Amino acid sequence: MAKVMISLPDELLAQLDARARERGSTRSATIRELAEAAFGQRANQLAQRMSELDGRATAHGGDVVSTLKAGRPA
Amino acid sequence: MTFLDASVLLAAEDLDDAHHDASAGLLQTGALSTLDLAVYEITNVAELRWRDRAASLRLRERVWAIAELGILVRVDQALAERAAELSRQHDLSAYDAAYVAGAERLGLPLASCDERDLISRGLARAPADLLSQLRAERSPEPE
Repeated sequence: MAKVMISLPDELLAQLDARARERGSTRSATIRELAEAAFGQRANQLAQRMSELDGRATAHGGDVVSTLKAGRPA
Repeated sequence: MTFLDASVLLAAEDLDDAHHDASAGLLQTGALSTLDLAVYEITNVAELRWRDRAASLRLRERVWAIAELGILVRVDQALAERAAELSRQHDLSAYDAAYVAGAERLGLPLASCDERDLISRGLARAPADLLSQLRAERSPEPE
C-alpha cells in the first residue's frame, strides 16, 4: 500500500478527525473508506447507466476495428 | 478503472463483433474513462458506416455518462504532443496514439479490440483480458 502526503483545509481536517474518532478509526483509514465509497458510488451509477443502454445492440457485421479505421482519414 | 478506446464502445453495440460480450461486460464495471476523440469516432462509424441512428445516440449517451461519472480526457497541447511522439515511436496513427497518450496520462490500462496495432505491441489489452482481471480482483479470496 502506498503512503502519500496530502494537504487539507483546517475545517475539512477537523471533520475528518471527528469522523475518525467517532468510529475509533485513523485519519488514513477514514480517508481510504471515504474515497472508496465515493468512487464506488460513481462506478455503480455509471454501471447502472450503461446497463440501461444495454440489450438494444444489433448486428453490424463485426470487425469494428476495421470499420473504425476505414473511416479515419490517412 | 479502465481507459477505453472507441473500438470497445463500438464492439459493445455490434452483436457480430468477436469482442462484443467482453466489451459490454467491461462497460458494466462502471469504472471507466475515455478520450474526447471517441465521441467523433463512434458517431462516424454509427452514422456513416452502420447508418444506425439509434446506435449512434446510445453510443454518445455512453460517452456522456463516462464524462459525468467517470473521466473524459480532453485534448490539450501536452496530450497532442505526446500523441505525436508515440505515433513516431511506435509507427501508430495519431488516432491510436492519442488513446495511448490519454491512458498514459491517467496511469490506466487502455482497453482496445485492436490486436494488430495496439494489443500485440503491448500498448493496450483486450476487453476479455481486462475483464477477467477485474473479476478476479473483485472476487473474495478463497479461505
